[in-house]
Amino acid sequence: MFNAWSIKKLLQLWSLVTILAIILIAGVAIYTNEVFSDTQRHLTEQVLPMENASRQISKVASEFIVRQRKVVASTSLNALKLIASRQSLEEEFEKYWDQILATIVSKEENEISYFLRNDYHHFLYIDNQLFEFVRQRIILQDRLDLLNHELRALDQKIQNQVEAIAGRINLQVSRDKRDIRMLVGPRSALDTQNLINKVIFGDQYAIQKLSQTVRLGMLTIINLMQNILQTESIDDLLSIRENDIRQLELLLQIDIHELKRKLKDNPALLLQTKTLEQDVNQLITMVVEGDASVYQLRVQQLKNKQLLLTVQQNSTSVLALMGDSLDQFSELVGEQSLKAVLHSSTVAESARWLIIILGLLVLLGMIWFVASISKRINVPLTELHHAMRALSSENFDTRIQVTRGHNEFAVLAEDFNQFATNTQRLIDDLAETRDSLQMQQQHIRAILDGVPEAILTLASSGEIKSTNPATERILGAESDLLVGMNIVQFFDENQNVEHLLDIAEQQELSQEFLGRDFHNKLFNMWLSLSLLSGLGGGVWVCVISDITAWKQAEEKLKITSSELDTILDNAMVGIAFIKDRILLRINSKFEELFDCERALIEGQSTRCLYPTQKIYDELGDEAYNDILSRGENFEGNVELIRQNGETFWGKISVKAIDSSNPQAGTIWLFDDVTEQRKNQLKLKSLASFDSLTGLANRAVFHDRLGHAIDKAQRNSGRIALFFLDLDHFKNINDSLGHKAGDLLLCEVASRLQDSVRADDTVARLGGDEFTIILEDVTSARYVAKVAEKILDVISQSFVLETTEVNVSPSIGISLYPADGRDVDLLLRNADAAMYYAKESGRNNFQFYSAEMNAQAAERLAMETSLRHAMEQNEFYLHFQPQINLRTGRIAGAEALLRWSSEQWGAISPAQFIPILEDTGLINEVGEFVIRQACEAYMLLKDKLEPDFQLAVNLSGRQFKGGTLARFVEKVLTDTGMSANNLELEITESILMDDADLAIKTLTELNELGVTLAIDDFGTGYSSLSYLKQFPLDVLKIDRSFVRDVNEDADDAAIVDAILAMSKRLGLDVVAEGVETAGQLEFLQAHDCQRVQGYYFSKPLPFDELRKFIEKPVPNILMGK
Amino acid sequence: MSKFIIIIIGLVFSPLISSTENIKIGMTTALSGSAAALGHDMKMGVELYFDFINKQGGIGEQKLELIVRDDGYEPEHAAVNMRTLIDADNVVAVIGNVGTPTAIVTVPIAKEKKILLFGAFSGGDVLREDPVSRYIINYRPSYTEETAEMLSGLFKSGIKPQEIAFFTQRDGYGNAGYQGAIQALLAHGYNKYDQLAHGRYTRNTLNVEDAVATILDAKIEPKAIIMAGGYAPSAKFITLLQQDFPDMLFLNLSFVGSHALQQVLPADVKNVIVTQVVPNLDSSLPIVDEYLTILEQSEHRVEPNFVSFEGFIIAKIFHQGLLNIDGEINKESIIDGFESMSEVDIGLGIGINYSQTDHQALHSLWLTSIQVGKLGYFDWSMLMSGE
Repeated sequence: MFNAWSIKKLLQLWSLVTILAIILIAGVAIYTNEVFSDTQRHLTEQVLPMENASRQISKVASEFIVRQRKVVASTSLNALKLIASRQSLEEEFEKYWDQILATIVSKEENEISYFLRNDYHHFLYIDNQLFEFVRQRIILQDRLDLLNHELRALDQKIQNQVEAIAGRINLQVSRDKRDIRMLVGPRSALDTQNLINKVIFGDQYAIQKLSQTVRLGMLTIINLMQNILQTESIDDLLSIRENDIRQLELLLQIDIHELKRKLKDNPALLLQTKTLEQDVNQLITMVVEGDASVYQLRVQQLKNKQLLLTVQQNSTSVLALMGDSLDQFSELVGEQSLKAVLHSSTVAESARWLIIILGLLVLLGMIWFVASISKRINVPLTELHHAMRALSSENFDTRIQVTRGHNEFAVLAEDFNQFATNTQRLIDDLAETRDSLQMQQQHIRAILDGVPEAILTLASSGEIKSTNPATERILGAESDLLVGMNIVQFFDENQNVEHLLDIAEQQELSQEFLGRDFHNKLFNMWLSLSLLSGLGGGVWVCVISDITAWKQAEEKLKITSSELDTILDNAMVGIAFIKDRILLRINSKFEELFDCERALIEGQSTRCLYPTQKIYDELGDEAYNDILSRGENFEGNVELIRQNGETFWGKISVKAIDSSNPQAGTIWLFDDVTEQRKNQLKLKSLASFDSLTGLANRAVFHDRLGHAIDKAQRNSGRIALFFLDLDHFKNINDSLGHKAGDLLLCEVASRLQDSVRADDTVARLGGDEFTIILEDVTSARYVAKVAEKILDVISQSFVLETTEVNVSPSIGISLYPADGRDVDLLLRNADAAMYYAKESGRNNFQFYSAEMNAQAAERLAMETSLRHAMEQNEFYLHFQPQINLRTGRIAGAEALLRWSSEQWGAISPAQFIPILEDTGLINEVGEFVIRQACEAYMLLKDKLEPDFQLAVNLSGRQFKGGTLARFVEKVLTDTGMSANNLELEITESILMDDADLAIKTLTELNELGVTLAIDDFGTGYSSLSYLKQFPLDVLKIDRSFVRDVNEDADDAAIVDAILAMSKRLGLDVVAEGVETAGQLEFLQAHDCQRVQGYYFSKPLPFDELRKFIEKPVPNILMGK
Repeated sequence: MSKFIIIIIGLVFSPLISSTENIKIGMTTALSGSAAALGHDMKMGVELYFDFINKQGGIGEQKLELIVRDDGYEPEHAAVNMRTLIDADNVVAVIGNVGTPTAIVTVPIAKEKKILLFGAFSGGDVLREDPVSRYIINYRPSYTEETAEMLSGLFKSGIKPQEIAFFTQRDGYGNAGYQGAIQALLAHGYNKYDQLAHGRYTRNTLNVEDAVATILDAKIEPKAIIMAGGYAPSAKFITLLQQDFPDMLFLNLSFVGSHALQQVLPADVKNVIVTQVVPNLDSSLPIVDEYLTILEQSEHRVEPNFVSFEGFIIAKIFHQGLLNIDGEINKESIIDGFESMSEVDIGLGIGINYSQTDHQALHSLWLTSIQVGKLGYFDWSMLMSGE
């Protein structure tokens, strides 16, 4: 670097360096002294207090650990409260911490202290967490203990309630039994017990069994609750809840429901059962449902336990970290004191050596300086001499190397170099100008040869001076021939070109001319003539293009275009040419369709065709990105808007002009399809919804159930399907007319819809059959609740116009996935359950169970056959004679309905009569039986005793409507039969079903003079008070008692007791099913008046009955 | 409200706070639940006599302090109370507990802890082992003795063994009453006792309908029912059954608590007989006078009744036992004090005797009946004249 310096400057630098070296030596000596005293101070002021403070902090940390252990070990909130505060520990920590901070000097220390501080804060945070989790743990445990206590009390209460219900039922039954005992009297006291056991069994056993099941269920739930409290795995918890308890819940639900049904006639017990149900529900809720349930608390407890464990582990590891930091800290402090001492000795040593080295350097510098000055003067002088000599011998590129800087020789060298450079540049410029001119000339020649236009140079006379190759092609002759010809010769004579100036004049108007080439062939040319100025003598340049082909194409295009315009404007659809979503061209139909003016709309964005930005964007996406970009046509229906603001549905069809590049423009066809669409929608909705009720129809129901099943399958959800049928709906249709029936269905539909959530589907499958899909079902209890609610709302009165009507529903329920995994199975099973509900006395609901299925299928088939049985005359009567044991003569006959089906053969009445009753066909068939029986009697009347009793069985259904007595009266009048000869048999269950109606009808019949008999006595729930209450005349002993009367002392006692009792009540007795002489003997001995059975005759067809009557009287009494 | 009621007797009446320690005596009894009336009366009777003694200066310098804990007539609570009384309250004896089911758990604890269980309000056999347990001492006769008295009276009145039925609580007490009656029947030579109707009900409920049904279903219509139940369920049972059997005799064990029973029974109920282990309150025995006088002078404003009278009597016997002690009063010396009692006259008309082989004071009974709302004297001859 010093090369650039002047010699004067170098001398100045030298003196400065020497002074600096002396100052540096003095500085090193002072610094060494400082280091010694620092080391001493550091040891006394920092290291010792720091050690002390870090020991104290360790102590505080261990106190923190002790406190934390106490927290974890606490079991009550009070104990926890006592140790909650840690303020004194924190204060102590802060105190020692400040001491440490005061002593911190090194970066490393600072870093450790920073980590330590962080760890400490982390520890405090974890400690807070730990405290909170322990607090939660205690609270959870307390809540669980409390809940457990409450649950036990509730369980006790439920057990007592169950006991109370069973007890009260037992008491009631025992009192009834006692009443009978009292009535029968002490005569048969020992046997009476047997009678009571058989005759009256009622529901006692069932209720007891049910209450036992409920009791057992509760015990199991309490037991499961213990499992919940003991299990340590959340999965197990969930399994206990989902599998065990839910199942029990369902069973309990069904049992209690059954219990309620059995107790429905006893308001006090029903109330108690409802309380029981509430308590059971509450107990289940407390165990598994809700945020405060045992289940939830236990889940929280397990989570808390896990969290606590983690926090404890965290706390331990943070403490370990703190311990490490403290250790590191002390280690560092020790190291530092050692380092400080070592440092000061090192510094002293280095200072000594530094001073020696500096002295040596000053000496060496002086020697180098003297050598350098002498060299700097000789070398440049020699160099300058050589250069001057080279330049003078024409070596213009000679230069002297210039050293940078401003020393004396550098200035001289620069001036020399400038002179040499200028001389060299002048010589170079001359050579360059000559080369460039040659190049330009070559370029111009190449252009002239390459262009397709003819380029000619002309003299002012028009004579051709030169041509280019294109000229030969256009004018059709070699260049040699052309040069010298006049340009005007190549114009058609009609062009009126005689002189070059004519061309110049005419091209002002048009540059197109008609030309004739060398061979006189006509061609269109485009011509440009211009005068080259500046060359003197007037040289013209003429450029000619042959435009014949282009001219012809233009002509053709003009014709095509006008044809297309005509087509477009007369098209029946709106057509638009659109590019970049801008309307470029539209036709008249488009104007009409969108109510717009062509001039205004062309050039606008197509956004104005759509009612909303969204439709515009979506259509754009779909049309351009999806369809057109694949090279396909786009078609679709979309909502559009006219310029007057009216919206309409348009059918759109789009095609790209160039299918490989839709960006180049598209043709859009628009058509108004609003009307068409309206019709379609209407058609669709007609097909989806039931037109009467507005509910979903069968197709929609199938679809929805299918979707619900798919969804449930994905989410492991559950579905309940209700199949609902109105009981006796046919009666309403029959009695009030179809209009009322329709009104009722609408009202039922709306009540159903109100009973379920908005998401649930209510559908009408037809007639009075409804279905309901409940989705996201969480518990059977919920399903049962909905079912109860529906029973409740449908059972409330309906007012149809002015008539008040009551109907009741029967509901069958199937559950997905338990009762089926597809639509058909679920529906079939719900239907089967509904059937079962009907059989179980209607106005109730039943969950599906497997055995319902087979029965239901057979019944259904039989029902279909029965509906045609009447019109096909498949019903007929048999008659079983009854014998008066006193006279030995035929005293009566029981008319029995028979059905011989084409499909089924002869069917037992036990099988088909219940179906007749369920379907309501019994009314029609029952009337047929009464009429037939009466007519049969009239045919035989002359041969019969005057007090002959023709017995006809009645069904409970025939009582409904209250018109039975009127009908019987009419038949008696029609046939002329005396009421005294007609005996109507009813079963005990009729009396039980609707006692008020039964009393009313029986009283009316009694007033007609008809004999009333109670059938199958002893097989139902008989109550003596009923026997007293109804106007009965005859009691028929059931065949099951008569059968074993000789073998079984119990049965004998029962028959005896019934006979004794009827005598007291003033009732006649008919014994059924007499088959042996022994039975007959017993009955005779016990004073039974009338018997029927195979011993005398089986049931006979009418003709055989006639023969039986005409036979001589068999003197059975004498025979014995 | 605290479940435990702790009553400290004596301090109120003492002019000075005595420097000597009180003699602490424990009691676990039913102050809540269906047998609460019995518990309250028993406690009141014992307190009545202890107050009387403390007012006269106690025993030596020491006062009698009764510590009472409520077990609600539930065995599980009784067990806890018993251990607390012995271990935490440091009582020297436990007296006047109510109930057989509770006795079933308290007896083993007394034996284990070697502490006197005296005067329990129960005739159950669990309190009457053979040979006797050192730590169990009774005042009242056993249920066997009570039912034997009932049966012999019924037979005398012409009622046959097969015309007898039972109504018992479904627990240790009910079983004790029933077993007692069976033993008495066997003693009379009747062994078809399993044919007799036997209605039962659950403790601390009023579910007696099943029991009524059982009686209604009896093959032979019963004429008398021996009852081992609480007063409330017994009253309901009697009320329900009298609708069907207006002339039925209802014979209750003394445990039922005659006054409590009388109060809950409808006024028109008759033929309810209760055996008693204390004399009738209208008899002229000195102990009756003493009881009535002290009760009248006390702050208790309650009607005299048999249960508090029994409490009063056992307190008096207990006091006699303490007086018999030579030297320091402790858990063992109290028993020695009792076992050395011979023909001690407490005004009952019969002397009180205890020995190492006999731990029961009373072997005879008194009879009362409730007739249309009135509780009065009864003997079997009245029944015969009524027939």
